[in-house]
Amino acid sequence: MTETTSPEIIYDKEGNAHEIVDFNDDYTGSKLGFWLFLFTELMLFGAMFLVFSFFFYRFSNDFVVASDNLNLVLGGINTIVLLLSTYFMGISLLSIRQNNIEKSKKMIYITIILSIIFLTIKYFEWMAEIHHGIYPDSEALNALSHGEILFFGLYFTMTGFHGIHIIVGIGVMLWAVKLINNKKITAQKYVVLENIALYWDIVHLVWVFLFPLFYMISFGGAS
Amino acid sequence: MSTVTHDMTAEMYLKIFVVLIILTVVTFLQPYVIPGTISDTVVAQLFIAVIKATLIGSYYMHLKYEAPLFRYIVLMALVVLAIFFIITASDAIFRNESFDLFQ
Repeated sequence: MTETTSPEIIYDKEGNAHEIVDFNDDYTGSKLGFWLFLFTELMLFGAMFLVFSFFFYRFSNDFVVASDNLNLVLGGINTIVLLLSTYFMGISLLSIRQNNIEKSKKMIYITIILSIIFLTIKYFEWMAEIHHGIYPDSEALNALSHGEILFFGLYFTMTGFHGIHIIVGIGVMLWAVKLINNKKITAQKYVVLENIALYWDIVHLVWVFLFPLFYMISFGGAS
Repeated sequence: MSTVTHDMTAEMYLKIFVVLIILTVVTFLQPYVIPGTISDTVVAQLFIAVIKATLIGSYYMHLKYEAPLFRYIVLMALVVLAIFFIITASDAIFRNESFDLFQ
């Protein structure tokens, strides 16, 4: 776009003239816009948690039985891997602000490696279920009770959606590295990296609720 | 550097990380330390999750350091989500009761 040379004028209700001042790197606006996107994520996962809660209430015992099939160790390791990755993402943002470009890039690479570890563990977890014949619409799954079918349906859907978010996260992190290399993200202009860190935090937040609801409820069988 | 970010330090990130790790360990240990019924477990687990979410939102997502506008819109989004849950809960709990509003 060409730069405007003559000032644009807007008139208020009383007819007073005001000059419009515009610029192309609105820090607060960029963050506000990204938060609005995060609210759509909140509603996406919120709706799935709503469905989960509804059926968990109706089929509590089936959910507890089905939850016992999940691998608590692998899920637990993934919880810590994801927590570690958000920490490194935060440090990356902090480093770019302190103009420590190399450290910031290194931290993004660590976050990417941790995300790949997360996905690998998730892969083995899903594969274990699939080898047991449990996947959406499988014969072994359809033979189970209504509640268990719903539990595994929700398990594959919600962890699947979460996994897609992790893959997208890796993509935007690689993009961030490219932007840093091209000097598009600098110590003065870091809002893109800040928004990516916000995105990564919401991916972590979803897991904070996913893990107890899918893995830890198996302990409720004591009743 | 912007004035709103002066509170964000590596020390803060590390402190919150340690607290989150401790809460994660509490998540793992809760069923062994205080075994209970299914509803006890869910309430205890979600209680820890909400504390973790609050810490992540306040510190890692910097809401504590943002302008009040950000805190209000996040609050509004959560209120909207809560309304969905409350209405659905009333359906789940009172379905097929004599005073079922959805019938």
